[in-house]
Amino acid sequence: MVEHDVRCGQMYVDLDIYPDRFTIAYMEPILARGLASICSLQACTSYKSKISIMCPDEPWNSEVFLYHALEAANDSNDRLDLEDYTPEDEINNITPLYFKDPDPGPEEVWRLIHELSTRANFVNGEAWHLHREWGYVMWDRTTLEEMGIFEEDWDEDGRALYIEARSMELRVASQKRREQIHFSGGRGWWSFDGESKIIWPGGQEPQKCILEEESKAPETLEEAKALILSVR
Amino acid sequence: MAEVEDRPSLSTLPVELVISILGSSRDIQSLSATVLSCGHIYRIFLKAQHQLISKVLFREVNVEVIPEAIAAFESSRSRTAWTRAGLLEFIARNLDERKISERSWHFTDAFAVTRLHQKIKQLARDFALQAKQSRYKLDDARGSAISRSELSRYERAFYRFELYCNLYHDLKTPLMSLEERRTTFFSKFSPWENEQLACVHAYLVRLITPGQSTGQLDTMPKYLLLQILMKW
Repeated sequence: MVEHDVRCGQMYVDLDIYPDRFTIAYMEPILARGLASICSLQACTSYKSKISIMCPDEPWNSEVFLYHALEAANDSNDRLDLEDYTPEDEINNITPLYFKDPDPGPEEVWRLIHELSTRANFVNGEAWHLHREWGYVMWDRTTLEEMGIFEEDWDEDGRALYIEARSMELRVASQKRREQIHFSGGRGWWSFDGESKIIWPGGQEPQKCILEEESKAPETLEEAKALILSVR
Repeated sequence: MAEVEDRPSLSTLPVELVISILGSSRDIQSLSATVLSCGHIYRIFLKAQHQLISKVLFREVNVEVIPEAIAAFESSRSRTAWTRAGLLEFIARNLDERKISERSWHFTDAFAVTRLHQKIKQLARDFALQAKQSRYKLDDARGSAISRSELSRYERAFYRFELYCNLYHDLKTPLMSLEERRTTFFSKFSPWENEQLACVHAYLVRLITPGQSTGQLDTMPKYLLLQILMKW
């Protein structure tokens, strides 16, 4: 249902993954008020005072604050994994450090985790959300060593995450296409393999909706199919 | 009586010595208390207030995060009055190169900086502890030892979050599109520095979202919160 229903796609209802985009969009206006406000929310002890802070002024939800901006910080997918980068690719795609951190830990762990990733997922990739929970790019190299990050079996995890990332990419592509269909008036059952079960108001699809930020996901059915085959 | 008058006190010390003592204050709060203790000291303080305040402030705030602390403070002063040109000018002045901006310091500004720093210090420590313990799945010494450089890294990421809030908090009429933020803001940082910001964002989302393990609002069911948020 969640994977195929047009309305679910339009609302970005996701599988059981936290943080889901839907929830985050409702949290963004609260976050946008800044740390002082967030800390005062933490300090609230009564249910009533929490509610008064949690219910923000309009807008109630937002896709123009930080979460989506971090996603938009990525370049479009060039189908080139980080591990295959030449020195020239590095110069073109990797911004040097802003803070000249003398410890190599954050950079090394980031490279390790993203070695099978393209530049479309370098920042805020949904597949890496579990790593962000333990602040993987925050630690010194010695701490990362203690954690066992650089041990041999790490590669297996990396490959599993790679598959998950590609799967996520497909799911987002699916949601975006279903969003297009929804805005064009279509309803019903959709799949990468065909759109024949979509019910259109006039019996056929009207002119394709142009939505922003389409470039990162496969734009045509053929591209999406090619992506599926590459994962399989 | 004569004995009392002959005893050395702060008010009888040479100017250079008083300035040296004031400059050794532990924090801004101590400095202000000493300065306001008598007219003689206050008059000496006025001769070197900017240097004294900056010296003590830079001691109280972690020296490894001073540029970020100043940028966050400076941006908060324009938080409600940004123009597009002003925003671009601020970013160019503060983010093109990491440096400590020269400015004259007054107590009111210094207190604002230290207030925010105390909040960030606490948030950084909380997140670091929780992140490390979640990685180890242990509550032992390994899970609680956090180096100074790691804490500084967490603090810089929280400052970057606050700076971002100050620059882009207007969700109704954003001054910049997500694409423009990519080229003007996120492009200043390496991908793993942007991931550090994503880590902080994810932590704060968990902090304020009901039902999450780090949430402060666990008593409020998620469905109830969404009902409240969606009451329009």
